Order: sequence, then C-alpha cells, then structure tokens
Amino acid sequence: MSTLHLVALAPFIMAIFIPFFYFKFRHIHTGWFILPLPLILFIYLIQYLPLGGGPMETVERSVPWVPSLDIHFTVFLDGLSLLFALLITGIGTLVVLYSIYYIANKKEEPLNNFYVYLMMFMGAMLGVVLSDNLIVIYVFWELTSLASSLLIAYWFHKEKSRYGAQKSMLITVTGGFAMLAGFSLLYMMTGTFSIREIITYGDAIVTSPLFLPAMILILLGAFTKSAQFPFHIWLPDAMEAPTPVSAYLHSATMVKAGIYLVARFTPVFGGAPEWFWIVTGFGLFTLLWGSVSAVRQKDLKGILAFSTVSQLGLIMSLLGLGSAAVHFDVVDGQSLYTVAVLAAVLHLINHATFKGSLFMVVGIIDHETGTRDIRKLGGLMTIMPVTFTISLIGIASMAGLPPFNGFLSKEMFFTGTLNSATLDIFNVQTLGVIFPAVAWIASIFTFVYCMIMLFKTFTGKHHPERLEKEAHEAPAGMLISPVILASLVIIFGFFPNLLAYTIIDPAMQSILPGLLEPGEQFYVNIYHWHGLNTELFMTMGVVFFGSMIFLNHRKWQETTFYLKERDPLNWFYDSGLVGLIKGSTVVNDVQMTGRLRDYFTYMFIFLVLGMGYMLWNTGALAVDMANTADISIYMYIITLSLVLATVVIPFVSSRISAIVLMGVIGFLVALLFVVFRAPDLALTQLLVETVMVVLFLLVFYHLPELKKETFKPAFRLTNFVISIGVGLVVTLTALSAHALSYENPISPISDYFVENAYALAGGNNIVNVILVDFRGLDTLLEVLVLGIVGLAVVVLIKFKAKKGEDV
Amino acid sequence: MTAFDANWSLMTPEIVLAALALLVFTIDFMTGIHGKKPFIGRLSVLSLLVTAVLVVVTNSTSGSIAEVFVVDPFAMVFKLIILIGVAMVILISMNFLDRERNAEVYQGEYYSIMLFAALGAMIMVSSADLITLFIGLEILSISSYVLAGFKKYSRPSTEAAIKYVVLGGTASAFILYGMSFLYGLTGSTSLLEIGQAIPMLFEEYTFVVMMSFLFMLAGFGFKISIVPFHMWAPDVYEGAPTPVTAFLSVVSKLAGFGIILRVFFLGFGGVYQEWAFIIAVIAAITMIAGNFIALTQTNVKRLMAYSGIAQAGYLLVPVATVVGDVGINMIVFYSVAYLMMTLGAFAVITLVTEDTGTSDLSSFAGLYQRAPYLAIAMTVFLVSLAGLPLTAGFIGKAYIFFGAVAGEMLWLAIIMIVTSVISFFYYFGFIKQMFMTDPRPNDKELAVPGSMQTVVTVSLAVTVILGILPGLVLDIFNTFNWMAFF
Repeated sequence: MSTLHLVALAPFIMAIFIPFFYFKFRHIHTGWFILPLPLILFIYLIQYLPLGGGPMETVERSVPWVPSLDIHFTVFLDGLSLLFALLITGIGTLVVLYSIYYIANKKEEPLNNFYVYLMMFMGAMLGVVLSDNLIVIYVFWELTSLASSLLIAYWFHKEKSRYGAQKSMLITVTGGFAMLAGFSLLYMMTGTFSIREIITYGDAIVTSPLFLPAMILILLGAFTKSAQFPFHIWLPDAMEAPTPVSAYLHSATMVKAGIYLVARFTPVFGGAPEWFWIVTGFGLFTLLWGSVSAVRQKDLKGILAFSTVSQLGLIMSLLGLGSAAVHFDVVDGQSLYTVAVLAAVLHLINHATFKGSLFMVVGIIDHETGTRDIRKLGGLMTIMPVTFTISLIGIASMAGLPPFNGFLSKEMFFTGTLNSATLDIFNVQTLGVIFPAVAWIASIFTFVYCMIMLFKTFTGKHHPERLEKEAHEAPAGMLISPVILASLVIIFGFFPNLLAYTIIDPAMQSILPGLLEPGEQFYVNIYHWHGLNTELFMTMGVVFFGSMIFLNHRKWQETTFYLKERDPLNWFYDSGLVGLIKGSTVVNDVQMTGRLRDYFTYMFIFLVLGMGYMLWNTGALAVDMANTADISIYMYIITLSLVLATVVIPFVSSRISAIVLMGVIGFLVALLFVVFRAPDLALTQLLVETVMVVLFLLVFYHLPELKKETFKPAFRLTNFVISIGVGLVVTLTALSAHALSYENPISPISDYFVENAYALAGGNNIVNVILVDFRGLDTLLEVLVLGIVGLAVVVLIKFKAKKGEDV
Repeated sequence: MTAFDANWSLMTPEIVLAALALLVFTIDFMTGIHGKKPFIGRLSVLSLLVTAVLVVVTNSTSGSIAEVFVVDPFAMVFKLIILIGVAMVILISMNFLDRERNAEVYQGEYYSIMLFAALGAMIMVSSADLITLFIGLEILSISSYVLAGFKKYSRPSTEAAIKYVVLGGTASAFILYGMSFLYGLTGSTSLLEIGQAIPMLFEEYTFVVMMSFLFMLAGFGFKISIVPFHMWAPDVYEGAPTPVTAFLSVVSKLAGFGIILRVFFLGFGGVYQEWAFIIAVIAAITMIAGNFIALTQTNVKRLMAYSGIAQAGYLLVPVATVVGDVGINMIVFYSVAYLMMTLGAFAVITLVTEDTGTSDLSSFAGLYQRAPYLAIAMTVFLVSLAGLPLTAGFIGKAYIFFGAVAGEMLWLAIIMIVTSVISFFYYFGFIKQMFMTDPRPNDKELAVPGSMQTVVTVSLAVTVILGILPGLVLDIFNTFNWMAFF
C-alpha cells in the first residue's frame, strides 16, 4: 500500500466519515469538511509533474488483491493518468467549493448523501485513471456509473431525475459489461490483466482472431461512457442532477473516462485501420450530431449537455486520427499526425476549464432567477455583470475565438483533420476530405449555439414577470470557482506553453509510446498566429456563416426541426424498455398458467424433443424387422381391437362407457398374455382388471355427475401432439432397442433366474421364486407399505366418523 | 458382510444431527405441540452449529465407507453451506413464527423437519452411490414438500405443497428412470464404477447413455429449477411460508447442484464432451427466461423465484464449460456468495412482508426511511445478485464468466452479460422502491429483532468481505483436491 493507493482510496475513506460530520456539526455546511481533501490530493499530485523539464518519471506501486486470479491493485502513474488525476482533483476542489453555496444547508436537504456519492464518484474516477489492472479498472468503472446515477437521482422526488438516473445506469453499465468481456478476451490473448504488459505483446494481439471482437467490446464501454452517438442519449437526461454534479460530470469525470480508455488503449489497438475508422467515424458523427442538436435546445443545461456530446466527439475523433501516427516516423519530436493527439490532449484540458465554468454559470442563473429556459431569460447582462463576464469568456472559448484557449485547440483540430486528409493509408485517399468538411460544419453549429446561449440569456429585454425570483448577482462564494476556471481559460489562452512540457508532452508519450527514442520529447509549441493559412480561413468562415445562421434564427425557429427538442434516438431506448416489459408480460402469461398439466406439458415436451434429437443424432434410430418372430392371426386381431378401443376412448361422452372401454383394453392385454403363453400373468391381469373396473364403476356410481368440460381446439391439439409424440418416441426406442440388441447381443437378465431359480431357491415357478426369495426384502417392504396405506385408510374413516376433531 | 467393518466414524456429523433432530422432536412432544417455542429454535441452531464443527473435524480423516458414502473437501464444503444455510433459515423462521399471523404452525415439528431436511441434503452431497444419493434426495424432498405446506389453513401454502409434491414426485420418477438405465448398463449403482464403465459403454450404447443422462438432468433440473423444469418455483415460492421459500431457493437448490456435480462429473465425466453442449443450451435458456420474466414481477417472492432461476443458469455455466477442480472452484465460490446474498435478501423480505402483510413490491416503498440499515443491506444483496463490483456476487460471476470465455463458449459468456444487464433492470427497480419512493402512509419505523439482525449482518459482512478479499476463500479452495475418485 503506497501513497498513490491512498490517493485513489482517500475519497472512499472520507465518504465513511461524512455522516459523522453531517450529524455531529449540523450547523456547519458539510462541504467545508470535504473541501480540503481534493485540494490536498491535487497539490500532492502536482509534485509528480516534470516541472524542471525533461521527461516525466512514471511511478508504479502494486498490492496483491486476488493473486489466484491474477488480479493486483497496481497503481501506475504516467503522463496520461496524471493529467486526468489532476483534472479530477482540481475541478473536484472547485466543484465542492461551488456546491457549498449552491446546495443550501437546509433540513430537508440530505447533504450527507450528496457528499458520500460525490466522494465515491471522485474516488472511483481516480481509481479508473490510476489503475493498471484491467479488472481493477472495471471495478472502479462500474463504481463511477453507480455513483453518477445516484447523483443524478439525488432529487429523486422528480420523476425526470429517476428516469435520467436509470437511463444513465442502464446504458453505462451495459457498456461496462461489454468492456469486461473485451478485457477477458485480451486476457485470453495475452494471459495478463496488466495494461502495460498487454502493450508489450504488440503483434501477437493484432494477428489474433479475437482482436476485432475485443476492440469493439472495449470501444462499446468507452462510447457508452463518453456519450458517443448513438449512446449519447443518457447525457442530456443526466442534467437533472444538481448543477455542481453536472459541472463535474461533464468537465472532468464520467464522460472523460471513455476518452481516457480510448487514449489508454491506443498503444494496443492504435495501428489497426478498424480502430482508426471506428473511433474517428463515431467521433466525427457525434461531433456533428451533438452540435446540430444543441442548436434547438431551449434549456441552458440542455444546450451545454449536447455541447458536451459534440465536444467529446471532437476529442474522440482526434484520438482516432492521431492513432495513424504510429505508422509514421517522428522527426524532431513531431509528425504531421501527432498533431491530432496534441490537439486532443490540449482540447481535453480546455474543455474541462470552459465547460466547468459554463455549467457553474448556468447553475448561478438557475439559482438566482429560478429558470434555465432561454425563452424566459434575457437582459441579464446589467443585472449580473460578473456572471456575464465569466460566460462571455467561457462561451468565446467554446466557440473557438481568440485569444482564448478554445481557439488554440480548435485551430489545431482543423490542422489535424487537414493533415489526416492527406494520409495515404487505410484508404483515406478517397474519403479524407470528409474529415475537415465535417469538422468545419460542426464548428459552425457550435458557433451558433454559443451565440444563442450568450445573447438569449444576457442581451435583449429583461422580463422579470417571467422569472420565479427577482434576479440579482450571485453571492461572492458562488462566483469563486467559475472565476478561477475562467481565469484559467484566459491564462491557458495567452500562455499555452505553460502546459506544453509539463503535462501535454508526458500525456502524449503515454498515448503514443514507442514513437520516440528514450529521452526524446514530443515537440509541443502552441501559439496563436500561424500566418494566413487554411485553418484561419476556416475559422473566419465559421464566424461568418455562424453569424448568418444566428441572425436569421427567427426564420428557422418555426421549423419542425427546431421545435422538436428531444433527441429522436430516445425513441429506441423508451420503446425498447416498453417492448421488454411487454414481451416479459406475454412470456409470463403464456407459460405461467398455474396449472399443473401445463407444467407437465413442458417437462414432457423437453424429454420428447431431447430423446428424439438423441435418437436422430446418435444414429440409434434403427428399425429392423428382420429378426421379429412370426405374428399369429390371434395377435393381429387382439392388437387391432386394442388399438380400436384406445382410439375410441377420447371420443365417448359417457363416463361409464369410457371405463368399460378401459376394461376392454385390460382384458385384451390379458388375452395377449395368454397368446404369449403366460397363464399366471394373464390370470393376475384378469383379476386386477376386474377389480379395477368394478371399483371404478362403484365409485363413479356414487359420485355426482360432473360438468362436461369443453376444451379449446389448441389445447386439444397440444394434447394430441404430446400423446402422439410420447407414443412415437417410446415405440421408436423400443424398436431401436430391439434392432440394436441383435447387433450387440446382451444376455437378458432372465437367464440368471432361469439357471439359478431351482439351484439356489429350490422353486420351479420362477416368478414366485423372484418374489419371495431373490427380491424377498422388496416384497416385505411392499407389504409394509400396503399395511401403512391400510392404516391411513382406517384413520381417514375414523376421521370422518368423529366430525371436526383434529387428529 | 464387510459393511460392518466400515469406518462408521466418517458419518459422525450425520448421526449426531439425526440424534439431535430426534431430540428436538421428542422435546416437542413432551412440551405439547401448541404454542411458541423459541428455545426449540435455539436448540436447532445449536444442533446445526455442533454438526458443522463436526463436519470440519471429520474431514481430516477423509475417506469413504465402501465407496458409497464419501467424505472429501467437496462434501465438506457443501455440508457447511447446507448447515449454515439451514441455521440462518431457522433464525429467520424464529422471527417469522413469532408472529400472531403464523400461530397455526406447529413450531417443534417445523424445526425438526427442517433439521431432517438438512440431514437429507448432507447425505446427498456425501454419496457416491445412486441409492444413497436417492435416499438423501428424497429425505430432503419430502421434508421440503411438508415445509411448503406448513401453513395449513392458508390456501396458497396448501396449493404450493400440492403442486410441489406432484411435480416433485414426477421429477423423482425421472431420476429413478434415468438411474435404472445406468444400472442396466453397468450392473452397478456405484458412481465410481459407472464412471469407469461409461466411456466404453458410450461407444456402443450412445443412445441409452444419453437417455439416462437426459432423464437424470430433467429430474435434477427440477430440484435446481432450471428451464424448462422451473415452473413450480414461482408458484411454490409464492405460496410457501417465506422462510421456507428461502430454504428452497438456497439450501435445496445448492444441494441439488452438489449432486449434479457429483453425478455428472463422477459418473458422466468420461463423456463430458458429449453432454456439455446440452447443459450450455439449458444454461442459456435458463438465464434468458429467468431474467426476462423477472422484469414484470410485482410480487417479491415471485421476483426472487425468477431471480433464483436466472442464478441457477449462471451456476450451470461452469458445469458446461470447465470440467474438473477449477469448475468446482467456480461453482462453490458462487454458491457461497449466492447463499449469503440470497439468505440476506430473504431475511429482509421476511421482515418487511410480514410487517406489511403483503408480499407486493410496494411493501418496500421507502424502506430507507423506515429502516436505513435494512435498506442499505438489501441494496448490497441486490447489487451482489446483479453482479456489480465490490460484492461477492461480482467475483463469483466474473470467475464463471472468465471460465466461459476460456472454455471457448463465447456465445454463452455473451448471453451471461446481456442477461446480467436485463437483471440489473429489475434489481434497480427494487432499489428504487426502497430509496426513491415515500413510505406508504401507515407504515412506521421498522424494528429489527436480534435474530434477523444476526442473519442480515452476517450475510452482509460475508458478501462484502468476499467481494473485496475473495482470496480469503479462493486460496483455500485452490488447495483442494475436490472430489474423491475424480
């Protein structure tokens, strides 16, 4: 157990103590007790940054967990994990600070639950990014799903919260299971759960037939978590969570876990064309889908949610494009294609800063005005100047305008797509032009929704009557966190190279290992002015066309596209659930009838099918009439009469005639025994049959006439099929047994008794000898059973005699 | 006869338990059959614990009585599962029987029959001979039939017992029919001899061997409620007294798995390749049907019945994919997890449904506000049943899952995953009831009596500890050479 293990586990340990803080110091907001923890973790993690230059030292600490299953809790800290860990703890600190002002310490507010879930969430995220063992990652991965859905359902009295929580849970947990399946396939290929060891296998994985299934399953996990199309539908519904949670979930955690996973597995799958196309394709499509959907949202949080979807698509597509870099040599620490990875890492950081601040701002607006609906808001610029300033910075950065950090990464994104369009591998030649085109169109829509957000909220006429509260500026404490994030947007915008060799290069080294010689570094130099190049013209085009669309938005506001706010893909989820329930009800009603005869039907159907299959499959079906004995005319007559009597029974209506017919069958069987020269058997059969028929007749004579039951044809048909089926299988089995016994002669068991009956037991009647001697004990016990039954009968009669008394 | 030279001391736990069960029975006679008898309940728990200690002690002298009754690690672990399971069921029952509503139950008889059921299950998992095995099975089955109908003035309970006895009797007939083929082919009832003879016999009498297998599968499948022999479970579970439902879904089912393993691995192990696929298909159907139908259940006991059917499907997966000690490792680990999480859940269910008087899912509304500890514990049990991390259920399921992947039955592993997702749906609905719904107007705070507290706490602790530190038992299991003669 090392300090780094403690980093991942500290939030969980904290969570245990939260109820104590909450109940013991009821008047102090619980958030104040939590706040130091993420801050300390953040400061602790910063010291791992290579601040003095040079490559970053990686750290590895391992603790055995379930050694017998090769599961070790190994903490591995490299550039990529450090980047994410810093985001998680850094944004986490700000979110906790913000939440102290956002969620009031009121009686009905279960603050302790909120912070327990939040700490679980933080710890789980840290666990995901710090672990090296796939199973440990999976464990933490599912914990993030669990914690986030608990947070989404925090205000569980709202139906929409519960709906959103369940949706995020179902989608992300499904993805998690798929990911686990992918991990187990990787384990089959390599025999280890350690990612770093898996990376060293290289070609052994690529050539394996399981390569593609493993890749797709793992990507399913990443795509569901990172809200990639078509799994993004959970994210807009997740905004039912308290705003601090949304800020955290969208900027630094949850959805970024999928990005982390893709970045982490780039060294394993990166060289494959399937990886390139799937990751890039889904990323670009999500980028487009998200930005177009965001335009038609009326809820500020809705706009931000779809904006996150789209921005995640952007980062995802950059990682996909960048994966092509492994096929090219790196000169002076860069190649045409490493720039995509550089853009991905940079945009990851930028997105965390501006999206975090924007969510907090929206929370403030919601808090101070009581609504987030852009149709009700307007003219807040003068009322909430600080909030407005922060929003302006955040939105400008999101729209990709200089001098903010969003501009830098947006430019680099264009560069990445343009460079990739020139790729001469993976059949990019023909389709490459799509990359910059899609990027450009999506950026236009991004610009449009940014404008909508800014102008609809802060400019125009203020309508106090539409708001639930009188709007005024937020308290200072609530503004601290967004102000810090907005300052970072500016600082990273003006001094992007602060990040270059401290964090971006180490992260790139982890995503693209093996491209550089040991000791080398990627060339990272980020600046605003690249001259009048294509990227700049693209940005200018974005601003121009975006403004055109925004200025004309009155015209398209009336279109059906704009009025339909909800993502059409939700239909699949909702009707899927309904269908599942319907199907389940149908299956339940059909098979759970509560009637024993139906239950027997299932069992016999299984056996008939099973035995029929076996007969056919094992080739045991052998009907061979060659060795049968001669059949006399008597046998024909008796058998025919037997069949006739049997067939007639179901069709007679009177009970008495049915019993008589049953009796006829019994007597015919007795006759058959006579023909087979077994007089003792025939005699027994005659006696038993006579007694049965007489008893039946006697009993039924005394019973009341039963109501005639009518059955549905379907029921009759089932019975018919089953009886024919059972008869057929048994007959075939008997015939096959007969035929096979000539192929593999078995000595019949009767030989033994024929030989030994006289010698051992001194009796000539073999049946008698078997009954009283060879199977003497059986007979004794049978007699005993009969005796017990007799006793029971006596008891029952007595019971009837003395009415009402308990026995 | 050599029978009397046998080492009867191997049977010490069974003999002691039989004696104690008779003692309980006698004390019951002497004190009059009516009225509440908590002391008999305590005595029964004590008897089971004493027997459990004896089981562990006896195991050091592992061996067999004429290869009919074997004492090996497999038998020991299953006996411990049975004994602890029954002890916990009795603890649940003590609270259940305490209530006015259940005054019609004759407590002494109830406890002693419970003990006899445990005895039957113990004999069953220890036998390596078809006859002993069947005797053990019938002792267990007949006791179960009686237990299901113990609330004799309640219609559902009586109906449950009748259904159970009729269908169960048929299942036993199937087993006997299947066994008769084996005896006919090999001339022996010893699983050891059958196992040696089967590979050769299979060449010549493929059909007969497989028919025998199918009939036994049908019969045993009924006991562990796998599709299509599952129909009895929801009806019987719903009607039977809740602690008996717990008994049926845990002890009876796991003991059934015990003999399935013994018979199929020992008897049919030689022709494993021939039947593995049949089991895999049945496991798949069971997982799909169980989880799928559970989605719409609104009665908690029926829900648990379908969940139990689905769990039986998961447990069946290693039988189809991994033969040998590793497969037994997986099944035994999951059995321990299943025992704990299911019994814990049933303890909570008994308490809540008896308190509200209905077994509808809505009786759990707002449980978190009425009894936070119970609600949290129940959530852990459900999360474990769903197979999410940090619970014993997850480790067990993941272990089985890896086995399926390694056994190159990827389709089965995928079905396992998809059905797990579906299962999450109804477990989540359950959790939603407890945490996200307000209690019904006249439901008050729920007091948790001591015996229940014990069961819930023990189950919770084991579920969580095995989820975090599965090595504690897995390391022991790995050293076991599970089955004698295998």
